[in-house]
Amino acid sequence: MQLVIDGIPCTAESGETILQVARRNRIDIPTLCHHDALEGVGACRLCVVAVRAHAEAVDAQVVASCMYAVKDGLQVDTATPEVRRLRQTVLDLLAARCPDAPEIQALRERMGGDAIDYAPAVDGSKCIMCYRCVRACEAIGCNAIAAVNRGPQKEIAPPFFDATQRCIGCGTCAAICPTGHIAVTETPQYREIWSQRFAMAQCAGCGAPFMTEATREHLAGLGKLKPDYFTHCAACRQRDAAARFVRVGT
Amino acid sequence: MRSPTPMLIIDWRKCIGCRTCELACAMAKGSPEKLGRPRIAIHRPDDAPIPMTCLQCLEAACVKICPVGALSRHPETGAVVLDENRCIHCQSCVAACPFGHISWAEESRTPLKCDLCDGQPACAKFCPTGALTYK
Amino acid sequence: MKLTSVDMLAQRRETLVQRTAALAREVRVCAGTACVAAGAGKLSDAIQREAAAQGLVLAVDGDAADVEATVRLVNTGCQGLCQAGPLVRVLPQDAFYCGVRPKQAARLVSEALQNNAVIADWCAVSPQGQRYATRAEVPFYRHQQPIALEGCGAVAPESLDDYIAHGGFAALVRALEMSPEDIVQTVEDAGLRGRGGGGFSTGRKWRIAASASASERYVICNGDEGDPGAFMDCAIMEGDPFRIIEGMTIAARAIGAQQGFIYVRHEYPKAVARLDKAIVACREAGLLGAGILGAGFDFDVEIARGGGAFVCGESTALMRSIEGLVGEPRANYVRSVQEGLYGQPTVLNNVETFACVPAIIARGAAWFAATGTPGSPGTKAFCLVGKVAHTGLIEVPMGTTLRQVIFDIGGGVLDGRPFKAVQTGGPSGGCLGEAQLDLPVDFDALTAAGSMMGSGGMIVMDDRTCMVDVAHYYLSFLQSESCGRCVPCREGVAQFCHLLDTMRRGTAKPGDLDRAIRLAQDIAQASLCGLGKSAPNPFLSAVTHFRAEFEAHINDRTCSAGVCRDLTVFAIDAQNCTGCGLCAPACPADAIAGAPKQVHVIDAQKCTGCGACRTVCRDDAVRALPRNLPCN
Repeated sequence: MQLVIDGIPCTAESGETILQVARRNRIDIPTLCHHDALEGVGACRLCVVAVRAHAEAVDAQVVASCMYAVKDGLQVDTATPEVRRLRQTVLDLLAARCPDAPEIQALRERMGGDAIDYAPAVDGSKCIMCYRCVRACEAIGCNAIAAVNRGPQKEIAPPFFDATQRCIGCGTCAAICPTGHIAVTETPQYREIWSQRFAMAQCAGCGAPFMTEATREHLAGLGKLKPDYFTHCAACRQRDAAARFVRVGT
Repeated sequence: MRSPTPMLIIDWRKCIGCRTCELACAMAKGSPEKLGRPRIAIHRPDDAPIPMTCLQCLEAACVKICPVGALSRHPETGAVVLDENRCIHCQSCVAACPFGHISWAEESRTPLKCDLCDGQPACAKFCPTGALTYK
Repeated sequence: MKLTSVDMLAQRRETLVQRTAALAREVRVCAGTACVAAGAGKLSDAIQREAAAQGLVLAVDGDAADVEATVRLVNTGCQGLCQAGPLVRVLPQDAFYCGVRPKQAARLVSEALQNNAVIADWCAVSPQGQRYATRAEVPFYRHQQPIALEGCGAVAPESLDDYIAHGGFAALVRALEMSPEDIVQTVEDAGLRGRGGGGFSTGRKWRIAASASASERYVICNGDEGDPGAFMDCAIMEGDPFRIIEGMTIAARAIGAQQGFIYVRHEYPKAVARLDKAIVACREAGLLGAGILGAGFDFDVEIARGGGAFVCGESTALMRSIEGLVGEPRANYVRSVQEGLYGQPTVLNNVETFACVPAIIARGAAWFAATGTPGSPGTKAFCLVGKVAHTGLIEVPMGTTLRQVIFDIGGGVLDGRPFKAVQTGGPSGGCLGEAQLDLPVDFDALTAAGSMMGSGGMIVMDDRTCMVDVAHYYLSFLQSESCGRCVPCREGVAQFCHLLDTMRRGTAKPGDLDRAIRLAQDIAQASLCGLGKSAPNPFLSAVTHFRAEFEAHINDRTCSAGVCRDLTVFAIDAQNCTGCGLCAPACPADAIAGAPKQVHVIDAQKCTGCGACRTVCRDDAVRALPRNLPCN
């Protein structure tokens, strides 16, 4: 199907979102919660755009481009004054919620609009509730964390804020967090995340910690690869493979 | 009709351990200001140098284990390539490669693997002895 | 007994109607929440004890099997005039008694139940001293026209037999004779619009769901009534549960669904219990389950209990909740009538909407459309609460003006104080002022005025209500009930509360009103779901109709209503004070001094502005004055 984004005619497949089509055509739409591999949640509202049903339509509707499936003949404007203002408001609100998140402050400065300083949160964390960690955890198959509570009290946590068997301590949530909100403590013996301690698995070759025991069990338990795949760290595996190749070749 | 997909061929007997491949890779994967992290490494089991890098396995463990389909085979080069926008940084691929060819860059929270430089592998181009060839 | 054919249902009804006709009288004791709180349960027990003592055989509730009985006692659902309970209605005289105490049971039995007497000195009295001999004369009821509430307060809520005797499931029989297309057409022709507040055409909704290609379809009844001050759906679920099941079954027949869900909020345990019993009774009678009434049509209903989250009244969040997921809305760019519960076409209507359906099918589209306005046919139930003389549950034809509702039915503002505003539509609706009193209640008219029909909460406010405070109340409600998924609603509404709070405290700065209006517009545009989009309505409507009050709070630091404590001190008007001494002990700050029968004085330094003195004063002698905070 055909649609027009910022005056540029674009071709799209049914089921694609405006954001996908825009990015393929190198039209920039800012996002915070969007991730290519994860199901859209439409939480941050930074990616809002104005859409009209067809070229002659007068009434524009503001939609989240990460969720809105394209339609034939759709007219999209990614940077109307209204859209810019809404994005500015979103960033102003997030900046007040997370005064200590430099990523948000930087994005806000880059917008360059008329910023409004809202009352900063006194207990401000760095969490912008983008749900990336929750969705990544779901993708891995653990579902160990979720958004709990409501309204401004909403936060990401394991069930009942307690240790949970579902968590494998893989650290993906922390790695995918755009603001560095999720705390991870690492020692050679253990990794601590979500106030839960995970024993590290030691490499059978060099003895270095290379993943948590629980992660190893999880990966082995997937049944996609043989369990003995997960005994050595990457460096040892490469060293051993080199020795094997040389031996085979001589 | 196109010729069959070329492959990166490692003939370790020709390797002299000069590490030009590592440097070439670091330059190809870096910026003019800063070298990148090389995806190839010279190992010396029994003192014989051997360049080790991704073999682009046909049934790749990394592709199998990735929970979000961020690793896939490039239709033209045949390399197993990472879509960084899809990567969720779970390190499963790092754990899965039986040859240890995927390493983890902590600073950028991304897995590092050879992508055959989009069909122009720098290592092969600069290898002075023909230990690495792309044909 | 399983009813395996339409004929068997007809025979059953005939038997029940004859049995009921044999009874001399029926006494209906309201067992709605307010009346039970006022002692209706004890009253009902007392009536049964007295009847036994006086040798009168009573048939209680659906228990009409006792052929010896001459009088029937029904513990009904809400009869409406909640403020004056426990309510008792005696038929066929249609005598109506308010505030009946258990000790009055003896006289009730001997005079009103043993024979046809109307106990004149118990009857309600008009301000002019006129006694209302029948309920139909009482102004609270005179202007009403019940359709959805027809059975509520009349039938025995737990008796399938009683529902059948009152004509129940006749509409289902009619629907089984009609083609699904005809049912949809009838509902569409009737012009029924969603009573949950959205006002979307129910017939069109059914049509879209029916025409979507899918293997399964669902019918959901939204009983997650969460608006402050609203209890219409609760009353119907508790008082006439079979009607909802019948409405849902007709909907299922129309769209081809086999499974239905009634989503009831956790705070309504009685509604859950009643619906549960009703569902079991219907299954046993062959009115739910496989092969309903022997026709080749299967449909069953399950209850899904909510956890008490306001947001779960939003359709997509509700469906996620039924699926066992966290009750958060999703973007509704795809309508749930096409892809709803479990990704299948789903018709979701509110309790009151389903309660209207049997009447429409039984009596026809033209009959329904004859009531109300052309754009909004039929009637609407409201919960009339707040500072109004007669609070309770009402149902009026669409097009009735707010003035008629508040003054003719509600008896005007409590204690004769001046009317200030009426809030309709709950947290998504808005406040309307004196100038809007002649607006008809009608989906489009209320929306055009900046409020909305909503599910039917109607809160009357007098001159001692501060609109800034009201806006703050609603926004803080929404702040804690926002699901927190999207930024504009989660963070925006919280900032909004903060802005309104600074106005209440006298710390707002010039320009804050414009800032709040911009934020309101941004929240309305950028939020993910309908709740977020409508969250600023209580504020925007209040600013539209009461802008000067907001400006006075910001610029002059005054609250004319005397509600915002930081802006108010109270003083006693020596002209009116009789020295009765009520105010001094009521003051929590010990700020009032005065000898008996002498004019009392409030120490402005000590006064915390709580207004307790004004509340207790019977002589209108306490005045709210500006505290005159220093400019900051």
